[in-house]
Amino acid sequence: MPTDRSADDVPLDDAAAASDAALVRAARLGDDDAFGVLVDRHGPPMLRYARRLVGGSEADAGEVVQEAFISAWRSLDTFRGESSLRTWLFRLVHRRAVDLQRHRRPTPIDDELISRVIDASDDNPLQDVLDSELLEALQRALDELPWNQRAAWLLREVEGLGYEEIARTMGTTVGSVRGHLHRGRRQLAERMARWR
Amino acid sequence: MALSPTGPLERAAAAARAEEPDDWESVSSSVKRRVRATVSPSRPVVVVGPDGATEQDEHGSRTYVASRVVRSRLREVLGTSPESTPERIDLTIGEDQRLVRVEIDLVCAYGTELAIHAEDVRLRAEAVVTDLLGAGTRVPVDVTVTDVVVGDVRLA
Repeated sequence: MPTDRSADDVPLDDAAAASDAALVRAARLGDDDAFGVLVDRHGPPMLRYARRLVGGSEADAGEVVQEAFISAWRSLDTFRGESSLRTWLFRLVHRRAVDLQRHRRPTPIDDELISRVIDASDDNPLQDVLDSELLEALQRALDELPWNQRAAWLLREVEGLGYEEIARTMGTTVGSVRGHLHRGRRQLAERMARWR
Repeated sequence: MALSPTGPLERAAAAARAEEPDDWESVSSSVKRRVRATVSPSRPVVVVGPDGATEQDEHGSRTYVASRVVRSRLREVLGTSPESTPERIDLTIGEDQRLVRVEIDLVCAYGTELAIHAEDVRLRAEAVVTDLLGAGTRVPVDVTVTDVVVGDVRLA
């Protein structure tokens, strides 16, 4: 007969406290609740990245992120932990965004969308307006950048990934990432200069 | 103390970093719904009575349980301990649709008596198998400890 269980031998209620590795382990065995915790942990930055990358379209970004997570769910066995889970997920988003870009023409920016995604704060409405307009200008400037420069800048400056992580995400080398970033920063700074 | 961004590009980057996508809940719900609807590969496993027969009545009726169900139940039962958790559960099913073998890879907490704990896991797994697939399903259960981590294995 199985031995008696200890007092600690109970289902874990606080799955949100589990590490990525523990949640991946459970999800690989079909635990969709564990996968759901990973979705909510990593999803918001992925959606933010996708939206800026695909030109500000809420619908396109949502589709990209959904497809990335479904792909992750189906291919969790292939995640070997050579990079962090976050980097692996960003890579899936990047690939899906590339696919979308290949099949669709660029989508115009929805001005309302940009203003909506900024959380309004009560204490500084002027700053909110400035941030909103600044972000509209940033999106326009990003849309004019070559794809790789745009992706590298967003991953570095907005999502805070390291050069090695960006290289893995984009499927390129660290040297190329440095080049894309250098050119992207210069071009963005020129386009944003009138806001000085 | 962090310096405030001064240039327009730095200010724009800071504003972009502060964005919280307001449609995240909708995207998240959609992802979870689609994940739940994804059907994982599964095969029927026949239930075996205490006498070793698969026929449940005089008409030769049989009962089958999806391997997905067996695997899921094993995961639930074996995943509640802070001392070990499964990271792989493989079921071998014969051509006659009987379960032939169960293989379980375990991650254990540092300090766990591995041999004793593996035996406990084996017994629990056997109990699940006979509960779901009948008392006549007596199969080898191989347990392999593949990793040892510090702390509660459900969190680490």
